[in-house]
Amino acid sequence: MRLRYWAQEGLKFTGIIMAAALFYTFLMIGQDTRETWNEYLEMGALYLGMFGACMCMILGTSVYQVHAPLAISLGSTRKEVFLGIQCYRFVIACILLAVAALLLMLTGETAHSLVWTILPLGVAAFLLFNSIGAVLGCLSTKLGRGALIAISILTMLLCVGGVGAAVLIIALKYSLRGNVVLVVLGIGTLVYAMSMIFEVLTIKKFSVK
Amino acid sequence: MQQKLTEDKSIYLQISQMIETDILRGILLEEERVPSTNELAKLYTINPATAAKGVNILVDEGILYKKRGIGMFVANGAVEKIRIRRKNAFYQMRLTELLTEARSLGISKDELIAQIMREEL
Amino acid sequence: MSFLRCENLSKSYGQKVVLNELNLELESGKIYGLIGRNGAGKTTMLSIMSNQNPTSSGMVTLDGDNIWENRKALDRICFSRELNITAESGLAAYTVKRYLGAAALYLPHWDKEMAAHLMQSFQLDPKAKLGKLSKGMLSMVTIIVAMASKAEFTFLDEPVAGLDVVAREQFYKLLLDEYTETGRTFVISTHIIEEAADVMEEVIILNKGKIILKENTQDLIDRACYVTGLAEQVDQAVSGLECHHPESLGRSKGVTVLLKSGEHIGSGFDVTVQPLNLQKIFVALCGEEAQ
Repeated sequence: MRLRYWAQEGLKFTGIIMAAALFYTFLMIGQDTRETWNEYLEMGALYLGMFGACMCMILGTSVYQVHAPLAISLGSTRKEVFLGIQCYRFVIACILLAVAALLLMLTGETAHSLVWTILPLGVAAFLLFNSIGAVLGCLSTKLGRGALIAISILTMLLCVGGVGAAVLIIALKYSLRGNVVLVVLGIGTLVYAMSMIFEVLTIKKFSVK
Repeated sequence: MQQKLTEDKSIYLQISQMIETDILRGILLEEERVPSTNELAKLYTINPATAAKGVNILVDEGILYKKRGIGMFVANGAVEKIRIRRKNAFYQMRLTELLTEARSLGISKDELIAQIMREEL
Repeated sequence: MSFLRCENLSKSYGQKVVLNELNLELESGKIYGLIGRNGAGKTTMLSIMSNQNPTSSGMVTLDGDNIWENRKALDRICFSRELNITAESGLAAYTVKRYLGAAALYLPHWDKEMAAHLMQSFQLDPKAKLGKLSKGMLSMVTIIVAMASKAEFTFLDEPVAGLDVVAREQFYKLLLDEYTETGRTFVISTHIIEEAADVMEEVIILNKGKIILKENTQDLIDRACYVTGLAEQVDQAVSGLECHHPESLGRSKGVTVLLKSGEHIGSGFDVTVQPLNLQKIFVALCGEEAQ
């Protein structure tokens, strides 16, 4: 199985995201010294999730423009590429969510709230944003740069709104009941599954230019 | 074996002729080992199959022979064989060419012989 | 002995037909030269033969098995294509080391020592970014990948593009060294025909999406000749023979002839018969202008 390449690339990407989140957190700390330590940890966790999900969406095309052609040109089958892409996203999501969970545990967040509310929401966010990234990536194999940029900007605007909603939800996390969380997670999974179908169809005909 | 390959003749013919010339010049002696086709290929930057074709011409003419597992060797009497063949080729090609050209220039046989007598051999 | 076959291979991009029911059989253990004009379809063909491009119809088989998405077959094939790195393409940020590292992960028979040794002799800086390399150095990277892959069937697309003549000589020597040592099968597409002619055991000519010729290089050169003289004399001398690319200048005429076994140029005619090198044969077969 040639997943090592994808796992390695996922780790590299995760590192970049963590660095960006860390940088932003310190920026925030520098600006406003009124917040408590706990709130910084929460911010850090939030940024990890946000940056992670957003980057997965925005840079979803690199998987199709860089990594997939490279893999196929070196003899990978398209099936391996598909699995590799899933592995890549899995690695990023797992590590970022794990680190975010760790930070939140340090703030005294209860394990119950973590496992039943926050983590599922995090997973849902990654599922949703990755599906968008996947679709954009697949489109990048068919469309020219202009069309792709236009669609990406539109999507980003949509998502700024979406991120705002996500922040809101997390702020209200204590008032959420388990059902809503499960629904969101369900939606995320469904959307991702649909994007996966699109991916399979795209990868099946993938050719190295 | 230091000559360069030229463009005017098939490469494998050049290879066989170069080996022959080396045998005539005493660079390769009878019963001595000749470079392998791989060695020839690397030396002249040509495909080993082409080198093999040139060597096989000489094997067919009895100038080289193969010792299994060791390589190609110059056959006994190769020098004489080569000399005889080249002499015949000289008469067949060069001499005929010479006479044809002389005829088209209007040079008589006597004139030609007189000129040859004047030359050092 | 293994066989890599293209069976009725066709490839179209929309209305444009690039490969047209192409048939080709490659025996293992030879160095093949693939020559053809720009746009003839060489890269497309090699790309399809290595699973990098799907066919429109037809298939490629290795020892009878379709290579499409076939892990076992692909383990035996490597196509090191020309690296086309634009400033914006993501690969531009890859260092040589990272790119070769990816190659090591994917190519099952990767020879690490050979790659390191070649990097040294090509004087390539492992930390250099692909986007910053000259065309010649990019060629060297593709050569390293092809050689160190140790794949049974290795394809190279214009490997010497961008290399100066000394570097090209080094490449041919490297190729022959590797070939004589391992007997790997190589298919090398090139535009620098004369240089490569000596190294290729067989030449494959691709023209307008079809293979028009696949033959032992020396045999082809042996049976080709250029006949010149007074037009009427030439026509009589070559009647019944396979002629290409006739050229006229005033009353004289020159034509390229490919003799089949047993055939000769008609004797008794006042014509000059000259041998041709591979490059001239190729132009006669694929250059259309003189017609």
